[in-house]
This record gives sequence, structure tokens and C-alpha cells, in this order.
Amino acid sequence: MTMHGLKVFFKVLILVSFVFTTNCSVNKNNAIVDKTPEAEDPWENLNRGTFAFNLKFDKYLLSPLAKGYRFIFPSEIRTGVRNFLSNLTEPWSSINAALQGDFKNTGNTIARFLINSTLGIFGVFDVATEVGFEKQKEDFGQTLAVHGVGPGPYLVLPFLGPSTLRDAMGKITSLYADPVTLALERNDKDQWIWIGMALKGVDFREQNLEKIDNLNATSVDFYATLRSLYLERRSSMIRNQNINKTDPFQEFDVE
Amino acid sequence: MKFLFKYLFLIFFLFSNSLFSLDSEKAKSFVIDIGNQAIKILKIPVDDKQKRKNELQNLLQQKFDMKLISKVILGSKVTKNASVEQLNKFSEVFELHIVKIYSSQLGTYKGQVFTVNNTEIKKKDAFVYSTIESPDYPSTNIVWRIRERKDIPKVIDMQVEGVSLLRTKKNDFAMILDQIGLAGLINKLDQMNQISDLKIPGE
Repeated sequence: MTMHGLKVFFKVLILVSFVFTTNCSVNKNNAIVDKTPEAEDPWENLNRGTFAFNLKFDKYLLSPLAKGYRFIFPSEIRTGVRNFLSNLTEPWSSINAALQGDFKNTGNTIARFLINSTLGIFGVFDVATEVGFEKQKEDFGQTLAVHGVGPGPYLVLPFLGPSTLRDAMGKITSLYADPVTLALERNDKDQWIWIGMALKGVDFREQNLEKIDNLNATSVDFYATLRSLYLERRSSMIRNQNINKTDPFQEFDVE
Repeated sequence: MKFLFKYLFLIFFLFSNSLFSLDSEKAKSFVIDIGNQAIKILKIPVDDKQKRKNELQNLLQQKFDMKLISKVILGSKVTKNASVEQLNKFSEVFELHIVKIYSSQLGTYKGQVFTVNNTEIKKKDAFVYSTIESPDYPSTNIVWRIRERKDIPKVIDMQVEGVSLLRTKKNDFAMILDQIGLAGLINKLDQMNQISDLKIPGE
């Protein structure tokens, strides 16, 4: 990481830590109690505008691209591409697992990266999962949450979709701290960062073509449905949804 | 006399948990039964969409407390001001709405295996943790919230990969309820239930 990169990284970290109130903690059972699902949406009008833009972007560009991608490439190739891109996120996952104090997953992600980069031929084949090292993605938004940074307001990002202020900060931080991103930047291959992001987007849409379309067709308020799904799913990722540790319904109780 | 009451109170206190909470083994076998029925639905050919929908509706009616789920989704403010007819109508359209959602999201059978891992009793509900494992996809965790209603266990919520059905639908309906009320929501769901069958993943 360059000096400039380090400075920005710490500035973002300090800013995020001070901006949000602490509303995530560890309870007496050592389980993470996270309040991401209760994130408020004070910028709803702006978010709905961005969401409408994203829907148009999806309708006219992302969804047709995803359909074309499915039509042209067989599932084996698509899985290979997905595995390759996913393998490149392992070093950043590993750093975040360590920052979260989750050393078991730190080891797991390092092992996954080493196995898949070698035996899995540059990550094209997910050999690690086959031999028992299951994927558990960690990012900087999750790290901040584990250390008590609240979600902040809900946010819809252009092109990228649902997020929270904390998770958006996490995304920005990854641009300055992810070892793979930094390596590409150092070698003047910045364009591959954006190509990788675009490919990930197309691949995600391809995997969820029917699911997202059906969700849209069966939602009264698609914006609210996606907000709910994102916040709950995110909370589940922060808590690492350990079935023995998780408080599944948190403070939401059936009347 | 005082001694008798104290004695009775003590017995009541000691056994109250078992009186009001659902037995974990019962909850577990109840969920296994749901899993088996769901796998049967997955095995129905995708062309036979009507059969899939009918089976799913049967499953919902038998195993889910749709009346309670409907009430919770609407919230106490709306249910207090609604007539019994309106609540029944909502319950009816909502059930069809859920059938529509899940018949399109369930996908097809590709060797999925349903496993129940463990059960936790919290207050009067049982939380059953289960996993669907598939050779083609990452495993999916589902937590079932079960409550005994008139001695019969019923699902009152399910959480798929951390996402609660109840909370998602409550949020989905919040704005329309606020803007045009329950009658508007019923109309909207009624219209949505009329749309043609959606494409099933893997079809």
C-alpha cells in the first residue's frame, strides 16, 4: 500500500468510526448483536430516484448483458469466471477476518487462496470448497460493524445498488486497501479493476435473472423489498450466521 | 390452605415452561415433514405449474398460521381499524400472493437434501435450524419459527439466509398501507395475483 493509500485508508476509518453511533456489540454469549436491519432511510426520496435510475440501467443494459452472457457461455465457463473473480477477493477477506479477530476464518481464507490459486489453476476451480474450506466472504463494512460502527442511513448507490453509509465507506476503503486492487494499480492496470467489477455485476445478475425479475413482479414496493432484503442479509453476514450463535430474530418479535 | 396454594404455585411454576413451550422434538419432526413436502413440490415438473401451486397452497394451509402472519404483517394499528371481512379477504389474497412468490422462487429438484440441524426453545416459540444442500448451489440456511396453536404446531415465520419472510412482506406493504390503506393493498394484491405464471429458475 502506498503512503497516500494508507493515509486515505486511515482517514476513512477514523471518519466512519466517529460519524456513527455505536449500535453493534457483542452480547454475553459472545454473539454479535447487530442492528443493521433497523437502519433508517432518511434519504428515501433521493434513494428512490437512484433506484429508479438503477432499474433503467438494469432493464436496458445489465439484464440484456446477463442474458447474452448466459446464452453465449456454457455454465462451466461461467462458473470458472465466477471462481476466478471470487478467488481474487480472498486476500481482502483474509485481512478483514483478521481485523475482526476471527483467526479461524483468516486461516480459512488464506488456505482457500493458496489452494485455489495453485491446485485450482489461478482460482478457476474451487478445489478448496471440495476439501472442506468453505467460502466465507468478509469485507470492510463487516469489519466496521463488528467493531461497533452502526450502519448509518440506508443508501442506494448508482449502478451498485443497495448499501448503507457504513458499507459504502467499506467499499471505498477496499479501493485503497485491497491487495489485489493495489497490485493492479501499482502495475498501471487500473482498467482491470473496473472490468472485474463489471464482470462481477453481470455474473451476479446472470445467476439471479429469474429470482430478481420474479421478486420485482411479486413485490408491491420493490424498493422497500430490496431494502429489507439487503439490510437483513447484511446483518446475517456480519453475524456470520453461525446457527449455534445467532439470535435469529433479534429484537423483532411477533405480536 | 395457604400451604396448599404455595404447593400448587410451586408445581405450576416448575412445570410452566413445559406447559407453554413447544417440545423441541415435536418441532423438529414437524419441520422435517415440511422439508419432505417441499422436496416433493420441487420434483413436480415445471410445466405443471398449477399442480405446484396447489401443493404449495396445501402446504401453507396445513403448516403455516397464515391468519397470524397476515395480522402481524398488517400491524396492530391496521388490524384494529379493519373489519373482519377485510381481514379475511386480506388473508385470502395474501395466501395466494405467497403461493405466487414461492411457486416462482422454489426452482426445480437438482438433488437438494434437506437437513434439520438443531432446535432452540425461546419463550413460547421453537426455532428450528435447517439447511438445504445442493450439488450445484451453495447451501441455504433456513430458520423456522414455530408456535403451537390449539395444540397444533404452526410456522409463524421463516428466515431464509437471514432474511425473514414476515419482515420483508411487512416492509413491502408498509408504504401502500400508509398511502391507500388496507382496501388499496387488497386490490393491488388481487391484481398481482392475476398476472401470468412467472418463469421458474432452472426452467
